[in-house]
Amino acid sequence: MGSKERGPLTEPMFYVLMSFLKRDMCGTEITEFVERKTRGRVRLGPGTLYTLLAKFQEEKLIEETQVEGRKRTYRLTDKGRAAYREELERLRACVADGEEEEE
Amino acid sequence: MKTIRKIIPVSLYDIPGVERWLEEQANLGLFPIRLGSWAVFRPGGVPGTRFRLDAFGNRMGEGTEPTPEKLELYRAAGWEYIGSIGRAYFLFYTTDPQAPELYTDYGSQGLSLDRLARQIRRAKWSQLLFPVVLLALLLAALFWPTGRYDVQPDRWARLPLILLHLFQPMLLLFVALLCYRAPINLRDYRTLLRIHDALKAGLPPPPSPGPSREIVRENIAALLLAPVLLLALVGGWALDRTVPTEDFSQPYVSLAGVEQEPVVTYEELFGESSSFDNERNQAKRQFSLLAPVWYEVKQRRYSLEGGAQPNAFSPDPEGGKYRYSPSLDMTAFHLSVPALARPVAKAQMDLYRLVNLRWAYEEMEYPGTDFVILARSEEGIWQMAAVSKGGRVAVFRYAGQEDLAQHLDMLIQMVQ
Repeated sequence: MGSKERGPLTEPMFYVLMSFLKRDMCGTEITEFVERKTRGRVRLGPGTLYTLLAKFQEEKLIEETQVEGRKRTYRLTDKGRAAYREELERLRACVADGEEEEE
Repeated sequence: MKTIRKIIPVSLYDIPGVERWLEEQANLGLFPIRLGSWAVFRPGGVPGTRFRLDAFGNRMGEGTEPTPEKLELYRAAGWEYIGSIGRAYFLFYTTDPQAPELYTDYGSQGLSLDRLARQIRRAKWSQLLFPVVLLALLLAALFWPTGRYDVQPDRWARLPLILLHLFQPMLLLFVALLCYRAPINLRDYRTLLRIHDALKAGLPPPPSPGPSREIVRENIAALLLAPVLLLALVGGWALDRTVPTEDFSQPYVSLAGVEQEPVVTYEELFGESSSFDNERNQAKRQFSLLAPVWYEVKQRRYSLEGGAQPNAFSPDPEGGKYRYSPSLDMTAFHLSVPALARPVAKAQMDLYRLVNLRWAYEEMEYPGTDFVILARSEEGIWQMAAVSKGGRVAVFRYAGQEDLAQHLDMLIQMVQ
């Protein structure tokens, strides 16, 4: 599913996809990554994270790489990376528009 | 362990309302064990406990229990699982004031309700379509084509019998229950869909309707109605059961009494039973508020002698197609509205009528009756008779060599 069907990513969606850019991650690592990255500004509730992982997996933006007991690890797919970049470009354009207007 | 049961005063579709009510119970020292038709608590609730309802199935493969991954994630964030509620939610709680909310943004909470919202939309449509389908089925039953072989079609003839069926207590109870529940269900569906739609739009859920006496009354009614429905169902089943004629206690005209020639059952003749023949020697009771007494008795008998020539009464399973084997079907009604006697008699005759035969009807006066209608098929093999007195009606279909008109004294005993 492309962004045209899904619309812009929400902030939690954007950060969850971002967390996979450098390496595969499991749920608790994603929560920690987002909190660290945003210096506590964005906190992911477990329901939010679980729902987003399910949604991304269903849309094939991420895929499962490892199951270790109760822990599941995921990685970003090419489609997921494209969705992330598309959102990043959109946000950059938003910021540029805003800054240009302030000059 | 001591448990406390309480009627739930909040709609289970009002997610914030249920959560808040559970939190109020925790502040009173109660901890929920189970939520269903009522709520079961144990002592030991901790004031300040937060409870959250998490919708089922927001992940493929998630059934009625949360996945190990979900339990692990939630536990790591400070949330523990209590149990499931209906087939809709998982119930989690935390006593840690620092634990993050299960859903930290409205959008993802809305996503988690997607599947439930889809189910509810389907249920809502079913609820709205059900009366339409019921009406369509009724009309279809009325106008169901009897086939191109029906030489005397009469679409409206069976309407009185449909009316009798419509006044069956079980059906009336079912319809009354539907009428009672439909607005409640629609209200509940609307509550959840409003929550879902607001969350999906990134907005906070609309204000919760919260606890109300009306919902308590509805839940008590549901608890009381469940055993009543079960009893009605069992009663209906026991009443409508088909039984062998020898076990049937209501009066009926015996086929052997109609025949001048001695006739016996298949079992008496051949010393063994036949499933085909058993079906032809059965009685079935029905019940309608319009016909408190309503039953049908079917009989088939066999001549003791093998026949000498082919005859039309012998689709007989011994392979001796010449043996005479008459049959008599009878339906009796005691109607609570006597004015229905004639229409019901005609409707039952229409039901008994073999549609590919042309029938000649004749009404005659007979002492001690309101009416007697005789019908004979063109080639004379089949006969029907309807007799009535007051609100009592008996309708017969006979195949055999006797003339029903000669046995009216016996037939009218059914309506005396």
